[in-house]
Parts: sequence; C-alpha cells; structure tokens
Amino acid sequence: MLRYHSAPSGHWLLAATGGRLLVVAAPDDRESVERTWAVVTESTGIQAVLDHLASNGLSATPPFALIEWSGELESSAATAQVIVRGGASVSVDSEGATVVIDGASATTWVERSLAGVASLSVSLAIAGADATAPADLPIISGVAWVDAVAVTAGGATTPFVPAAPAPAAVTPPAVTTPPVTPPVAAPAAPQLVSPPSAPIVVPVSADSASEIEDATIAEFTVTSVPEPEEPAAEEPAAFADDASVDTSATGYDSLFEETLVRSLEEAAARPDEAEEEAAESAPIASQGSAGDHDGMTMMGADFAALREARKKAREAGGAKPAPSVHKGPSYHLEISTGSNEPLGQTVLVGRAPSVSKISGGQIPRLVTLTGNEDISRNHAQFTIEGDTVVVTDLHSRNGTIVTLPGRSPQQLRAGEPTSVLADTVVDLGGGVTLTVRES
Amino acid sequence: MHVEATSTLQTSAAVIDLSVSSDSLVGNVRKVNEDSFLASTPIYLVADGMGGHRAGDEASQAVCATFAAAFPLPTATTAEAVLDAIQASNAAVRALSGNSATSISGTTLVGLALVEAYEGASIHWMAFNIGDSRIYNWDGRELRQLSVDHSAVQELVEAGIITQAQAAVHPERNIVTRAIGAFDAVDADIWLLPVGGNQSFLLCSDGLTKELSDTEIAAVLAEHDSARSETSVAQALTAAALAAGGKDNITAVFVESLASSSSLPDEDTTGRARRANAYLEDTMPRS
Repeated sequence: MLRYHSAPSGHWLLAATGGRLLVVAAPDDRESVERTWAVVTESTGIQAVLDHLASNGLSATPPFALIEWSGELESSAATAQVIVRGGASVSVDSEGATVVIDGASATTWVERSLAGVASLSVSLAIAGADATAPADLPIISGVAWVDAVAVTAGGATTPFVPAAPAPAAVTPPAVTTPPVTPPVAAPAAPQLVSPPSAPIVVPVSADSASEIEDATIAEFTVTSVPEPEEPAAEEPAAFADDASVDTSATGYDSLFEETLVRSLEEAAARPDEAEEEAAESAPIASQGSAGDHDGMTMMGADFAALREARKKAREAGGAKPAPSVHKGPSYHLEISTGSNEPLGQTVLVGRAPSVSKISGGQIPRLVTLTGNEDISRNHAQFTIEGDTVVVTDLHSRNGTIVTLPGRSPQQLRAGEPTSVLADTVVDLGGGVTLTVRES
Repeated sequence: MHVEATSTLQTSAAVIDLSVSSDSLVGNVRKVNEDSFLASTPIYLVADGMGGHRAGDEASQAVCATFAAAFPLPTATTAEAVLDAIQASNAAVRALSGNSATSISGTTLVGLALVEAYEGASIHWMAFNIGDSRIYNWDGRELRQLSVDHSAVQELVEAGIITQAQAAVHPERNIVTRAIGAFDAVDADIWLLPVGGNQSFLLCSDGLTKELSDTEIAAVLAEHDSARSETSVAQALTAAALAAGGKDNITAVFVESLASSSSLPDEDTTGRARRANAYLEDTMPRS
C-alpha cells in the first residue's frame, strides 16, 4: 500500500505507478507535472528516468527520490532500488534493520539496492513544514504534491504485482504462431476439364523411347534426385549450401532469419528472465549502464521492464483481470498518408520498394509511399521479432528518425535493426511518418 | 510453337499494357521438346522438364496446367497465391512420378507474375525461380540477369572456385540443385520489383542461354525491330540459339510492359541536408 501526506503545491511532486515512484522537487506548473508523469509511466527503466532527471546537467538536476521495488512486502521479500539526491531521505525497513538513505550528503546522488524489504518511507525537507507528518492518503497510481510518502505491506487492494508471475502470466504470452499455410490442393477437376483459352504450349509427342533416352544421356543430365521417399538427409550436398547463398545477400539478412522459432523461445523465456534480471542483477545494471546508457540503445531488459511496468500500471489502474491465456500483441503501422498496414509479416516501405532473392516462402509486404522524393526506393523495414517491432533503415539516402514514446528523436544507424515500442513514430522525411500501433 | 499476345491489366493504382511474344523450339538434336511455357496475364512461365521416358515434358506441362488453372483471369494476383501454385505444381509433378523409383520426373520453373498485396495496393512484379531456367531484365540497352541459377556450377561460381566462363563448359553444367518435383517441398527464390514505365523481361530455358551469351542475347534484343520484322522478339532469340547449335530445347518468353500511372516512381531520391534538429542525439556511426 502506497500512502502519501498531502502538501501545498510547488515543493515535492510524487508520481507513482506500479512498482515505481518518483518524488521530485518541481515548480508548480502544468508542464512539469505532465512531464514528470510521462517520465515515470513511459521510461523504459530506472536509468531512463535518471537520464531524464539529469538531462540538463548535474547542476540543474533537481533533488529527487526515485524508487523501484518488486516482490512481496508482506513477507519481507521485496527488493528495492533507491536513488536519492538533495533534500530527500528514504528510510527502508530491510532485513529487520532500518536503512536510511539520505541524498543531502552526496554531490551527485546516492544509490542503494536492497533485498528483504518490508516497507519504505520517504521524508522530504520542506522549510517550516512538519517533517514528521504521517503519510495517510492511499494512492495506487497518480501524481500528487506531497511532503511524505510511505510504502507498506497490507491492504487487499495492493497494487503491486508480485515478482513471481501469476500462473496465468506464466503462459508464454503472445506469439501465437500462425500455422504454415499448407500448399493448395491441385486445382479442382472442373477447372481442368475446361482449360482456359490462354496460350499454353504443350508441344510435341514422343518418338521412340530409346531415342529419347539417348538424347537424355547425351546432353541432359538430370539432377541427382534421391529416392522420393528418402528423408531430407539424403539430399545432395549442394542443397545444404543454400543457406550460405541466402545469407550472402545484402540488406535483407533479417528476412532470412527463422524468426518464428526464435520468437517462440523468446516469448516463453522472457518473463522469467526479466524478473531474474530485475531481482538479481539490479545493482550491476544500475552501476554499469547508468553512464553507458546513451539514450540510443534499447536493451532487451529495458523493454521487458517497461512491459512489466505497463502491465502493472494497467492492472493497478483497475483494468480487467488478465485473461487466462495471454494473446500476443499485434501491431499495425499508421501511415501519415492515411492508410494502415498490418504488421504480421515483414513490411518494407519506400518510394518504390523491391526485394531481391528471398527464399523460404516469407514474402515481405511492400508498401509504396509515392510522390515524395525525400524517401528512398527501399527506405525502411519493419519486422516482428518475438513480440517486439524491429525497424531497420535500409541505407536510405536521407535517413530515418524514430521517436520512442517519451524519448527524444534519434536517427537510426543505417542497416542496424532497432527495437521500438508501440506508439513509436518513425519519420522517413518529407513529412511522411509511420506510427507503430498496437492493435 | 510461337505465340504472341497483348493484354491490358488495370488496377486502381495503374494501367499496364502488356505485350508478350513466346517461342519454343525442339532444337537440332533432341527428338522431344520437354520445355513448356505459359504466357497468360498475370502469369508468365518457362518450365524445362527433365527425366527420361517422356516424364520431362509431362512434368513441365503439369506445371503450366496447374498455373493456368490457378490464374484463369487477367487480373493482378497475390504473392501468396503464386507460392501456393508453386507448391501445387510440385505436388502435381510428384504425382506424375507415382511410386516408381525409376521414372522420376522434374522440371525447372522460372516465372513472372503481377502481384498486389491487396486490392488497391501498389502492384509489383514478382519473379520466381527454381532451377536453371532464367529471367532477365532488359531496359533497352542492358541485359541484367535477375535470377540466380540453382545449378552445381553456379554454386561453384559463387564459391569462387570457377569463373562464369569456366562454368559454361564445366562437365557438371547441367546439374540443377533445385527442381519442381524433386522433393516433397520446394523452395523458390523470389524477387519483387516495382512496376513503372517501360519494362521488359526475358524468361528462357537453358537451351537459349547455353547457346547464346548474355552479350549475344542483348545484341539480338537491341537489333530486333518489332515494327518492321515479320518475326517476334522471342522468335528472333530462338532462331539465333538454333543457329548457334540448338543442342537443347529452346524456349523464350519476352514480356514488355508499359505502365501508366500518376504516381509511379521513377526519379532518384532527392538528397537533402541532414535534418538539422538540435535535439537529435548523436547517432552517427562510430567508425
């Protein structure tokens, strides 16, 4: 149960959702409230929130307390990551002891990862205010002006999703692989009875069989065809080389990947991995990637964390209970020219898109965006990997700019597949944008 | 056998005038023409059958019949329908072989189709290939081979072991590595190309390309003047191959298209100063 003590506006702003809360010193204007809310709800990880807070440089970074937690507070089994700067102080009841993390002592910020957490409280310095006011008002998700915040166990309406996924959530989400379309049967008899008048050439009756055989031997070498009933292992070695031929093709490598197989594995493994990473390697992640995180690269864990956070947010927001069988997200592209394209198979967009020598029966959908010469013939490609949309700039002349929700625009590196989220805007230039939508 | 035809295919995005000439000759050596072709908007095929005891011509004919039945109307089709027809052709050729282990028949297949993803979407050429028949793109000056042979020598060429010139005389030059009817499943190479303006494609069996080099084919195409000649482009090609030896069956299908549309892309992409957004974070390549 998350509770806060209300304070006059203009000092400390609390934004909380799911297992994340941020208390930040903020001016009393609508813009900062909206921005704070967006950062907390849309950032892809605690580092991303930190990035935003420190985006104007260290000296302009406001005092804040940033906390992410997961797990069972009731059984003192929660883990928490706490980052504090300036006049905020977080008191954590962890493994029977009380740990106080005070930001005032650091010139940058203080960061701790704690296990065995039973409760948390945030006390905030406000000149002339009662610093010991009890956090009394419950909140599940939202923004409020506060002077104290507490996270405690208890309350049937606890919004926090346990770290261990509920049984229903264990069911591999998403990615119900569509069955491979079986080859159509031979055309129906009536069609054969009345062949079309189209010019089919069906030449020449055979002469004597012996002559035919002679001719065949003389010039015409048949494929070394194995017995029809033999398994594929008996194929000539040349067949095995096909894969290497395919991968040598440039620019469309990802088309040849057996994404279906891998995506199933990912879909099945991801929830557990994400939880384990969050639980076990949180300290490493926070130290290692805080400096390295350039805002450009989305790590898989970031996505997992964001998805988790969104799921929590939805559930906390009183959304319908999760269905017992998860269905994978399906996406479509909303094109600024007014059309929508489903994102089932690979989608290739450009002024005059083409594909060259693909095998395996997975044909990309070509979307032609006419009338704009800023766009290259083959400009960008969208694929679904697992339940993530991956966009690749196909060495377009003028480049591709993507804007992930809540983040600043970034230019794609040519040819480099980049994962994006729902509601990401992909700008091809010339005013043409494609928005990834979850449908 | 020689066929010429013109047709018009209209979609909501474009009007495409098509002119096709096709010709198939048995050659100077063979007794049987095992090649078959289909030239019926929106599908153009050349299939080169193989196998003894008439099995080869039956196989190539079965493929053309399957496609003809699958695409009876001169309207744009879909890539999925073409893939389905390829698999259906494979099943049809497999059925010819029956349970006999001695008379296995197979055929190459090279094809061209007009496809659209859905009604009203932009239209594309879909080229597909299994085996060592070929499809070329001809732009009036330059002949460009689109397909890549599924042949033993092509793999040696791509591996850098032999040159293209050596491949032409290599003892294994007639061994194909993929064919319709060879296995229960067949995997075609696919190309998708935008439709626009004047475009020409040549589909042919190896009886043409083993007699004539690409340069010689291009010379025939460049010299041929349909308006003044009594023979079609396809006839000019097969006649040249016949004169050069004609050791195999020779089949050529030449497709010319003229697409008219308000929005067909032909221009180069306009270069543009890098979008100078100060807020863009630096993602320039490190190298």
